[in-house]
Amino acid sequence: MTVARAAVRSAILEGIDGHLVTVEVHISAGLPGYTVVGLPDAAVRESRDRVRAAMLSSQIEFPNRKITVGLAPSSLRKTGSGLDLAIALGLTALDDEHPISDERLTPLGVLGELGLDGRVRAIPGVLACVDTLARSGVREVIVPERNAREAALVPGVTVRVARTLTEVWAALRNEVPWPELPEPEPDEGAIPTFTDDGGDLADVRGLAQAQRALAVAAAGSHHFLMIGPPGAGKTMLARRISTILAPLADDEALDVTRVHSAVTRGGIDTLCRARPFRAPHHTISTAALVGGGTGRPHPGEVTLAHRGALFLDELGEFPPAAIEALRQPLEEGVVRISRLSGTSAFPARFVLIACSNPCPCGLDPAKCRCSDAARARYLRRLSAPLLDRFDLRLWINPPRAHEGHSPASPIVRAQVVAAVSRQTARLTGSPWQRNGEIPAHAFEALLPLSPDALDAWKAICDRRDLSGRGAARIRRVARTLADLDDRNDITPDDLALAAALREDVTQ
Amino acid sequence: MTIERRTLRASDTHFPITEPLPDRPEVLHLEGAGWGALDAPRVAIVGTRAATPQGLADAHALGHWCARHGITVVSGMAIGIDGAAHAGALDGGGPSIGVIATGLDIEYPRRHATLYARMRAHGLIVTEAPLGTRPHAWRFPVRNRIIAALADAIVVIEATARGGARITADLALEYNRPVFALPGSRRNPAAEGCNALLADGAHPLLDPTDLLPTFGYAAAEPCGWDLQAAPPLSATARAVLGACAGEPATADALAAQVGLSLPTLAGVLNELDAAGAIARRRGLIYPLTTATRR
Repeated sequence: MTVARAAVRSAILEGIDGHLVTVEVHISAGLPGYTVVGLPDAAVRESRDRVRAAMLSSQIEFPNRKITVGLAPSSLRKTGSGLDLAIALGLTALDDEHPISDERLTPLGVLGELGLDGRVRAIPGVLACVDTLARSGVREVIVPERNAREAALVPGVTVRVARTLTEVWAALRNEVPWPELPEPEPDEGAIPTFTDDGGDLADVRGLAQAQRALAVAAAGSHHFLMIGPPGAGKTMLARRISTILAPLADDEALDVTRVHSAVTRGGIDTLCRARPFRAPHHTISTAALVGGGTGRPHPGEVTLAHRGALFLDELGEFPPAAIEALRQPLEEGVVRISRLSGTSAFPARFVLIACSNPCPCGLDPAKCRCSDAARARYLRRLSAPLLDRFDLRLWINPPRAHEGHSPASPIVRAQVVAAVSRQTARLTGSPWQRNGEIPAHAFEALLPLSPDALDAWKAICDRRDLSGRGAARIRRVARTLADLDDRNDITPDDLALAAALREDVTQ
Repeated sequence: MTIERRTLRASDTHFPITEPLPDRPEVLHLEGAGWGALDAPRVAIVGTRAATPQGLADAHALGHWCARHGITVVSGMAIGIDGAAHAGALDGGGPSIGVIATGLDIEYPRRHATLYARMRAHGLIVTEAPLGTRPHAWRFPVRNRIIAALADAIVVIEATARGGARITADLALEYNRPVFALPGSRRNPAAEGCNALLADGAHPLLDPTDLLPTFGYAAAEPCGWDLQAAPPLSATARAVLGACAGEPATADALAAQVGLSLPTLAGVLNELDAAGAIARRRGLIYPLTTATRR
């Protein structure tokens, strides 16, 4: 045989989406050599040495001829090490003594990185890649053992576990059976977060109104801003939102898993069941917060917080550009990053919890000597359009020592879960999932008010001189308050409380 | 009435400061339409920029009372007490004199652009600084001597321990003007200056009518500060007002004290808000009136 060619289907990860890549291996007579064509990045080009070492370690002959590896479509830049296994299988398929037939190879999708000893290593983004392969008609995928459960989340695909190159090669020739899918690990569904000290709402003394606002935020996806002197309990309260968020629905869990699989080195074991809680530090760059970076855009913290909560402590200390960049995801639930080479869209539907001191000194109010101008300047960093996007805005004053206990997280969480199912029942068939997302034009249909409540709403808006947007936000929050109390009607008191939970914090 | 700009010298017969005070300004630039303000008795209402909503309400009420009794309100056009006093006087239909530290063509603070327009239309803006003078920190205390000199009496509504209002009060004593101060709570940092003035012998101003003897009128029955007839309040609303006991409180504390759920309390506060009985700022509810008077 002087010329031989094999093709294997694989996929690469771009941002959080998979892209189909066909790996072609071509062996011909000529000076021994190995060339990779089709816009490989450094990691893909290095696959040459990994594949060669892995094959030699696995007692498979590495063809001593002219080898060309073509990655199609050749205009797409290929990144990462996930194509190793596909390239190696392409080469082994052309083995003179033990070839793999085209019929066996063609229907497969192959993912995985190779170690020099021939072991198959896990890669990120398997869920997205397998999903892409399935959409293009692939019904059988070979994935690294650690990613197998993740791949199995995609319906209609048979998952083959790859542990070593030798084993995969043998299994493809039906010499050995495929290994079983691995058992899930005990910490199933845990998402890496910055905090593990969830604590309990009952740890927070007093602050009844702020606690209610937190439940509203968790139930209806209403963004929540707290301003107040240090030591009042803002941060303590905000971090506890992770203890009262409702569990993820199945489709939401897939969304979240997709994102976290793409950014977790080595992928993740299984379906994420807990809502993400992200709390980046205020020194974060704009790109790290909303996504971007050099080369292909990477998802930012807002995307990692997709379907969960994003907590920004000391909002006034974040770079102004980063804060302003939050406006699009807050409004649309998606981040679009435009580059010369194209636009990437990352999902970013999260509830934003933010805290800020009222002034730069961060001292007790009695000791604060900040001038009016300095305070005004500090709060002005939070621009009016950004402030307007918070449905809930509270000034937090330190509670007095004797102020009472608060309900424990499980109790509040049960209310939140019930409120979420009420919303789901009401909003099924609409494009929205939570009260916080309903636009004003859908109010009459989805958030009707009794005549009494309508009068109260109008009176509040007139007195507080609210913009149309502000008025709408109060109505949505009132709906969530009623949902938390398991009531069908919005009462005038709900509207009054909703208005009280949206203070003009810059005064 | 048209808005006019005049410049008066100390030697002019119409110069508003007639006494030969040691540091009397040599020249005053005046602008506005309310020239009658110079013919009436004048009270300076001054205080801190970091005023509480209660202080603002008192300044507004006193300005309003003065306007309805033919007394001109003099103040410094600043944020806080000054602005509330001017607004009260204008709302009461009287003229008012705003003494500023910049030139007549520069409006400072810019937030008071609307107030400046109202003052020009119905009162006067006064300064000793020539046109084009920008706001310099040192000019503000210097400007305060003109406020003290123009007024027949001065009232300090709320003042911090060391602030411009205290300077004005000291100057007024030097010029032999009676100084009134509103007593305040020891918990209110904006009342420290007033309480210190009272300790030093200032007259306590418990009711607007306390001003009358200064202008040669007989003392009158106290009229109270709540000048507008307020709508009647529900029993719960009165209970909430009573629970405040005149001091600012958080909604959390009020709910616990009166035993109301958060939505019910919100409804009640809404009622009190609409009746003008409370003001809210920075998470605190400030009672502007007491439950007993109603």
